[in-house]
Amino acid sequence: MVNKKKSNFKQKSFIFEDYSNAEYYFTKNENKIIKVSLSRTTFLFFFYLILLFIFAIKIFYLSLFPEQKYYSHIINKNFDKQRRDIVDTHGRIIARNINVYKAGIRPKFIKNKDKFLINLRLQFPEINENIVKEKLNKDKFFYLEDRRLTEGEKDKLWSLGLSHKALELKKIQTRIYPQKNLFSHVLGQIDDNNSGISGIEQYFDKDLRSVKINSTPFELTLDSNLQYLIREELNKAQIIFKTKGSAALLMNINNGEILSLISLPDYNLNERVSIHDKKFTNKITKGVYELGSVFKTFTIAAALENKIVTPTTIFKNLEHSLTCGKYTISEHDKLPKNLNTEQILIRSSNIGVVRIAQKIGVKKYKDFLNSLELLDTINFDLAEIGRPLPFNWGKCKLATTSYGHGITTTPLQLAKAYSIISNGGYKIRPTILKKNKGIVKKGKKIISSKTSNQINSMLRKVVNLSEGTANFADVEGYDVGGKTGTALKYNSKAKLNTFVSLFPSSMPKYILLVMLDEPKAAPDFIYNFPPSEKFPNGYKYKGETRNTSGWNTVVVAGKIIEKIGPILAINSLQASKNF
Amino acid sequence: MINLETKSSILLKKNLSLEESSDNPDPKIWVNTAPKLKENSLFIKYGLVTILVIFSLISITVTKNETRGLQKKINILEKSIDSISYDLYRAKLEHEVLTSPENISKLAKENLELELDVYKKSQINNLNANKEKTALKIKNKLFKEKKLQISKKIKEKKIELKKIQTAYSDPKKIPTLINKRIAKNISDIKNELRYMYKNPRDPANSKKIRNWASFQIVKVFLGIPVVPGK
Repeated sequence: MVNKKKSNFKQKSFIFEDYSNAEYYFTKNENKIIKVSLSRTTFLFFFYLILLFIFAIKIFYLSLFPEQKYYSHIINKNFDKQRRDIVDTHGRIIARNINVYKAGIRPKFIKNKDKFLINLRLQFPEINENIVKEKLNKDKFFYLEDRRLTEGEKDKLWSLGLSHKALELKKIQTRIYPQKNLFSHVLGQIDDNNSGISGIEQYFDKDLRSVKINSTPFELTLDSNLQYLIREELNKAQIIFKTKGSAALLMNINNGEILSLISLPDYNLNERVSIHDKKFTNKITKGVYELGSVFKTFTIAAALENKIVTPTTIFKNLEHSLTCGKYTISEHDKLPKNLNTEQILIRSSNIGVVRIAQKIGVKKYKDFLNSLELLDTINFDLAEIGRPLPFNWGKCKLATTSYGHGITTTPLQLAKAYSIISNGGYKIRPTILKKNKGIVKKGKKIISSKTSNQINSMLRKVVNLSEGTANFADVEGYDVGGKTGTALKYNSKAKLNTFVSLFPSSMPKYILLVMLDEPKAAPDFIYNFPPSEKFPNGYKYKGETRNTSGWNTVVVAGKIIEKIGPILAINSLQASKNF
Repeated sequence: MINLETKSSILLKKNLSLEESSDNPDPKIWVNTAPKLKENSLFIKYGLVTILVIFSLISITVTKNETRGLQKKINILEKSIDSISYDLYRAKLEHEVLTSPENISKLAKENLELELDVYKKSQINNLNANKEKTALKIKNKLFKEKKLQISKKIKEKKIELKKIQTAYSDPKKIPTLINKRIAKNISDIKNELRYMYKNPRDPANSKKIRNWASFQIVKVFLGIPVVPGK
């Protein structure tokens, strides 16, 4: 039957005829069940298709985001430091952030308070038990002292058996300084929000907080070993010469890299004490002082550079004292009446230097000091920078400034100026940031090489000639040259003694500045005189009552050079091998 | 010219054949031309799609579950790596505290029973310095020896000069002195000749002859003609 009808249908059908009849034909006859199944299947098909689509979107969504971000809530990363590490020139860590915990106690949830107190006393004997007991009895939430707990202490606290409700541990990040006091004036401090408030921490706050370069340490040019050795010697000097404070700076004179910067008294950075006392000022960068005879080098350098004198120019009939306005300028010691330029510097003659300055004239002398950037504020890598006090130039001012009185500057600027004079006359910028490793870019030439060599040779004679003022710094093998400076503090009888040394003076590489604030004479100290023609084995001397730079600062500088010299010599050898 | 007759006849013939074909249609021409309706095609189609959907759903679920499991493991490992790296991070800091110059010098003071002395630069370059010192010593020694020799010669010359001076200060004695010297020279040469005559082997060992022989050997080697006896 069906076949028959089908054949009929086939015969009847025509190319333009639609299938409405055929559907009618199907529905009217035996294929009713098929129609129901089709709709269900269609529904199921689309349902699963939509499901598939949803999953596909989900998979696509998962693939779009980086894994860590998506799973960050599961991973719960233990530590993500907020500040970069600070390292010294050898990569030794001098500042690093770590996690610490603040423990909060809810007494309500402690079942046995007495047991807790006993356990606490056993695990933390340093915690004041009575205070904790008092707080526990008040039944109010409190923090377990102001101290911050380390990871180990946190585990110990958990071992006391407190519930999660009773003990609340607040995780915070703090900065640790493993060298304690050693870099206090350079590094500075941070506040509770991990923001720098002084020193490098403040000056480079943005760099140190940078998330992008979080893993790379912040490199300094300072050397921990040198810093420690110099600090030790300054501490010893503090005992011997009963100083109020002291400071030292060690710098590479060719590239301005500072290897050590010490200012005493210092403070332990880990104690986080707010410091307001002036004695904690960074004496090298912030302190502005009249530095005395160390300025004579600049006067003579200016005269040599302007071709006003030569090292052998003789100044005859030098007075023992002279008056300029209200100022009386006199010699520190009995000196010969006739001295040449070189001897004026070696014997540190005030009158001789005044005569030279008068020959130079105010304008040329001022220009020379300006070219050495002694009178402007220095551009340095710390927030704590001192500004030299402005003054009016006059006839008497020229005379006093020629031997370093009535003119102020920071020890850092003094070291910079000496470096320029001794490195062949090239301008440098003191820095504590390690930037161009080993590459020395020469700056603008300010002074001729001839003047530089002449000054270096004179500075050497200040140290190695018996009539020089810095014999105690003549350390064997290091060819030390330098200049002493003894200055009276403004409106005070207290002294500020300085010694600037350069070594090796034949081709200077390092400058060491030592400054003692208010030193006293040390009659009980045994001075070891270096070997000389008269005394080939040297000799010992006790009972000195003079309080000039030559009798204290030079001694300290000599001791420092004796200790750091071998390290610097080895470092230089290593550097030369690397090149 | 167009032949109209022939053209018209062709047209007529064509029209005739068309009429013939339309009048007699072929009834079998549409037989079995309509598409056949297959009974099970829909089931197979939808069935396959459903199976595919179910299979893909299952595979997605299985893969997702597997991935979850793996992710959990990865997370655990990452957490442990994280805590280990943090421990290392802290350990490095502790190492810095322990090996700080202050701590080391403190420990050295407590535990080492010796006073550490500072090295001098001259001590660092000890080997070179020693070499230089020995070289200087040798130089000085040689200089002293030469100085002695020269001073000796000077002394001898001075004595000779004094003799001559004393001789010339007394002119009468000059001829006798010269005679004495010539006589001494003659006697010396005589003695030498006598000695040579008595000991003929000895002259061959004398310095002059040895030098002469060595000179001749060198000449032979260089190809220079040897002139004997000269």
